[in-house]
Amino acid sequence: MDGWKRFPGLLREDLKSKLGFVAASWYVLGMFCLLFSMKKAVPAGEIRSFYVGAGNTSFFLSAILFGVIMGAGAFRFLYVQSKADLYFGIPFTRSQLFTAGILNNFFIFSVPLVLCRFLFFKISLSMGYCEYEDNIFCVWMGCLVLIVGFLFVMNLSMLAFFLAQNTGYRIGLLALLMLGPDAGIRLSEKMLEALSPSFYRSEFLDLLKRYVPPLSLLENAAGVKEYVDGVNWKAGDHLSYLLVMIGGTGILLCINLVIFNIRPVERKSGMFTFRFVEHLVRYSCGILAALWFTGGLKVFSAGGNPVVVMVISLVMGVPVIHGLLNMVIAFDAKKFFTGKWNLLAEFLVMAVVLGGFLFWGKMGSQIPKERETVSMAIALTDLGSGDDSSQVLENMCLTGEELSRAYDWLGLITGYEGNSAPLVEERTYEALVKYELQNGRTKYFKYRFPGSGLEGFGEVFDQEGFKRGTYEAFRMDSLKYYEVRWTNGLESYTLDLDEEERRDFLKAYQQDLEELTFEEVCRQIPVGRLTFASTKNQGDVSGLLYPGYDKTLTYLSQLNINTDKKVSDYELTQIVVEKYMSTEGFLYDVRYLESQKTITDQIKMTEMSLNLFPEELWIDRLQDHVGRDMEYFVTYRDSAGKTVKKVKCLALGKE
Amino acid sequence: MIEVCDITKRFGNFICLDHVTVMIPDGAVYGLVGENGAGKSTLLRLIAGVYRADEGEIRIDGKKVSEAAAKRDVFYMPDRQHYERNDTPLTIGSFYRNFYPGFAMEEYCYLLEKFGLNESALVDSFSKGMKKQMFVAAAICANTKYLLCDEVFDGLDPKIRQEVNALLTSAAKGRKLTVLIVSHYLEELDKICTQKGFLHRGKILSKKEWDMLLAGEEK
Repeated sequence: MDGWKRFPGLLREDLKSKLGFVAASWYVLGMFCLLFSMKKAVPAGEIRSFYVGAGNTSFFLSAILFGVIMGAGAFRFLYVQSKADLYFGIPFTRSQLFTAGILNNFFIFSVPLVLCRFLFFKISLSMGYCEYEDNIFCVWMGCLVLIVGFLFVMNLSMLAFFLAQNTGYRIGLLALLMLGPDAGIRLSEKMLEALSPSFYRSEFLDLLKRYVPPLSLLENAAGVKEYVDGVNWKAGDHLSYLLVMIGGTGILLCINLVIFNIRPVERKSGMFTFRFVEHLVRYSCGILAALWFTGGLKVFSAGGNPVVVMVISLVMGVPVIHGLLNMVIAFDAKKFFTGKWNLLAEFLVMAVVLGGFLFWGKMGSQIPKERETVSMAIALTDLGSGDDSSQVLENMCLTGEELSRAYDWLGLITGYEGNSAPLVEERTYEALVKYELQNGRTKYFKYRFPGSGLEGFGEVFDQEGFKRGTYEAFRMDSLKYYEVRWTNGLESYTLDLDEEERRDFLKAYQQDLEELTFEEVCRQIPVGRLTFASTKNQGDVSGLLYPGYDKTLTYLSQLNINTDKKVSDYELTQIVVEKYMSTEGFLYDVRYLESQKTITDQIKMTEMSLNLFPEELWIDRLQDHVGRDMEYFVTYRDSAGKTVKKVKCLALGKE
Repeated sequence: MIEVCDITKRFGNFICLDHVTVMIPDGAVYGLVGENGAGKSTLLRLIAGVYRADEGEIRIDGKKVSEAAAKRDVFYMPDRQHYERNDTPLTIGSFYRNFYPGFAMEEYCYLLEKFGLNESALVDSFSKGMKKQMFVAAAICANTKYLLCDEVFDGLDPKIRQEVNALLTSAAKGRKLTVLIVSHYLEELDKICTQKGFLHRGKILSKKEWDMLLAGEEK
């Protein structure tokens, strides 16, 4: 217990050496409040109570920044011999010195954070941006999340600074700890994509992606990406991330305490404090580099045998990576050819890792059987009028008869060779499929298929489950904070509808969507587009208007909107025709302008415009009768005839 | 009593201290002599708890040096003492008073005055000798049982060296302070030390071995 009596003195002296941090934290966090209080009005459309939410980006970024800087500077005396002599010479154990440093850092950041967040909240309340009862929980939780996030990042930064002996290497190690996991997961995805053409997503990697990379974990705990406001920040959605972060912080704290206790003060040879760190860095960087190298090689080999690619990668890549790592770790170019045993070990490790990916890719590409599948979701990526593909997979649930029809169609498209080698000559389409299995697991696949694969898709498209999962308009519940906009690509209007009318209008649109056939989507060009635009920044919902949407078009006609008006019905002043030439490579698609022609002759323009439609309406890119190598810039007078507008159009007819 | 038992310290492949054993009884003024790189400062840092030994054990009054209770009775004065740029002799005194309960601030101010050091001046403006004097004053006033001094006479002129010598001698006699001094200044050590140890290439030599070594070098 000796030493704890004098502990307040140690805290005081440690704090004196960190006065710069104290000033910086008060200055930065206080400045947020000052700048916010000077903000006279929040721009329209922004969620006002978002400012007090846990995911406030200013406070979030400051937690990361202060975590990194204060972690790096927590024990500066460790890195200077004369300071180490002083601090380790005074009558305290190393654990006591460590505790003092951590406690001071905690208070230096958390006291101004809590006070400034509440000041921020007070300003928001006085400006009428939020209500006390609705947001107070989120403000408290925000403080907790940010303080834990700060401690998490600080401990990571501290760990990097304890383990390396040189500033450059400390920063490099910190970058590896912060960004390495994310890079590893993304490279693993790329590897699986390269090895298995049907790979789309992995449930396991998705889980890792959310919980393992430090910055993602912090983002998910705070809800930064979701832009949720104070009211909608639900603790249940973020609790698991917060708990993982608390656990991670606890583990890191223990590791740091142990390292602080055993870390030698004297400078050792090499760039790292312990020998095992060198191996850790060597193998982590080696695996990342090998994955990157193999993935790159697979892309360049353009569909070459994966086993051959891996062998080449091992034979050519590992020695190069080994040499480069030797140079980096020892900071000596002469070390390139040294360490034959390390080279051998790296060969073995890389062979195991790459072999593992080969096995994983093979296992993952096996399509689940129908009897093992509970439900399925299919997203046709070219069906652009539907929701975002990942949202479609999230929301769609095909079961029973719908599932059987989906399996029938998948049986057709998985038979194409296109799933093992990319088709270059013919236009291909892409379907993303999610299987919910009976064992509780989820599998994702990506299939590429030629145009003929679309033929049987009508059976799937016409199912209620498919449409409800694909079109967001079916999932809209409240239209209170929405307005309805219509455009035909040449002119647009906001419809003057009250909430009741908006609901009726949506109902009519949903009925038309229910009756929409896949044949119509593939054959017809839309006549307009609707947008249910949120006035509270809750996300817009848009959808196309096909000629067969009788109910919706009638409703619009009742509002005096001429939905039949086409490009040819406007007073055209000029059409610029541009012809493009495309060259497709393995890694790139080059498209360059071949010729350009301006047409002002009325007869020619009228004749040409009969075939044109605004590019804005070409969202469902399933029509094979649309020419894509020609672009038309049509200049026309609007309905009032006073202003001239220009719109980019496409023409019907194959290239 | 300071017991250094079979201590080994390596820096990479270099063995700095090779199974060194030293016993320093209470009240002794122990001088440790040795050429550059012999491991004198390393041994002092090990006793102060700055470095960790690879092998062996150090005990102060029977307590392990890693324990706060053992360190409470030890004041370590390295060759280059650290201070902040805006430190004055008074802030240095306050710093040590936080950690050494017996720190005698009045005595410290008296000694500063005796050495002719302005207690409010910046330490950074002091000469090397003045800084040494100030830290010796702080070390004596810490009122610890053991004092570890690394090259305490280094950079001091003969007059000040004599003063420092007198100060340490009186503290050792008056308060039964046990002093371990590492120095190149054999003459000064001869004046002050009650015991001496000779360190050569990481090993402790006897007086006879040391004399033979010196004789051999002279030859």
